[in-house]
Amino acid sequence: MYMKNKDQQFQALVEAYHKPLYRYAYWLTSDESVAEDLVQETFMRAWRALDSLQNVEAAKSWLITILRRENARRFQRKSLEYTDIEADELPDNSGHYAFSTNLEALRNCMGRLSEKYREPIVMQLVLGYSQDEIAQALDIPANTVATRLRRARQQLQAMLGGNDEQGYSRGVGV
Amino acid sequence: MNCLEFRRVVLEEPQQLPPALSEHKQQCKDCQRYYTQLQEQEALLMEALAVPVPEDLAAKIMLQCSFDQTADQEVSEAEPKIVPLKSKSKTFRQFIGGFAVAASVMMGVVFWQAHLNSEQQQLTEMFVQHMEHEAHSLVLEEPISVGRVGFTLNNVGIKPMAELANVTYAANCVIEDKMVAHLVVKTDQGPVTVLLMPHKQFGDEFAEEAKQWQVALTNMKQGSVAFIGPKSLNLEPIQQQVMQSVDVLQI
Repeated sequence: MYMKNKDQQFQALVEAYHKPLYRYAYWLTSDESVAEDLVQETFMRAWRALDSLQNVEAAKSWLITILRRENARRFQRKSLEYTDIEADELPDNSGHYAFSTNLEALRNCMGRLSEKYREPIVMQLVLGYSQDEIAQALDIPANTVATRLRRARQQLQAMLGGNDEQGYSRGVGV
Repeated sequence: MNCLEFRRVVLEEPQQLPPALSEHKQQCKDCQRYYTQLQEQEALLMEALAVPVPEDLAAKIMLQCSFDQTADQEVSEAEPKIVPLKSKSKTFRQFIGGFAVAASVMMGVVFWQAHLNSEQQQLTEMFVQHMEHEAHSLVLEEPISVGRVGFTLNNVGIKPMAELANVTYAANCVIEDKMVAHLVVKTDQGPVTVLLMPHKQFGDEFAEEAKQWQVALTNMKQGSVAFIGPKSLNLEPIQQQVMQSVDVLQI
């Protein structure tokens, strides 16, 4: 990769990764403004530490690591303010986007998946991670990742079950 | 392999179908149907996950960082694995060192350019040099996932229209300050490097040779694509395959 200077290198990183990072952050937090803040904070830290990035090929996983750490810090800072809320009670933001019914339904179901199932599938489909890369990022065994990916899809199928017109409802139980 | 096993494995990664699964799918009509449905569902899921990104997010990030030039030192304690920017004096030394290196590289480039006859030859040299810079990509054998290819293309605003077969490498690189998608497609006659550059229009299409390589530049709806392969290889089938498989979104 040819880079002329730090500004250009950073701009290239922003151009390449701000969208997948935002989408990953959105599905991690289920909140647009928090996702935006997380991504901005992530890039801010990346900017400050850009000299330490020796291998440009590793930029994506480096940014993801920073973002996950930032998200964890967010919870540490605000842990006392949080209470357990049932997924059904969470505000439905789906109307904010002009999605079709199927997409809305899927998005709602994604929001209702527990984080341990949601995060691997988002990493796979939004970030393009392999199962090994997910295992490395989440620090869990690869076979656990495989199980979670399978169960995530099964749960999505189950949530959308009962209506054969819906995308995820036609799967055969496995 | 039985149906249960087939369905367990495809649920883990529907984008990829290993040979054993593919074999089972061909023999079992139920699993064929199941797999087709799963692929449709997966496409829908990918669409659902691609929530709209605020249009000004990249600009906000760049602006925020431009205001942060003086606030570098804070990071080291909180971020042990990340090294903050060097102090100003060190940065200056680094700048001088970098300038010397840059100057020598520039002299080399000027000398090299004096020997080139045309812009097309210069571009050919640049593409070959880029490919050789990432030479490790040429020896990879295993095809990567469709999702990985799609991710790489999506990063530069390209939409995959059909599956590109035998892609063994996909990464985003920078050429002349613009982000490009760098793919390597395995063929019987050797690897072909494909540089999709939707943000860069290099002018007329051409085919040139440099060292043991040939380079063909083709224009897309927006931007250009460079194909680099061994001289002995027929690039045309790969060119056709790639051009039919991608579409540039609005940039």
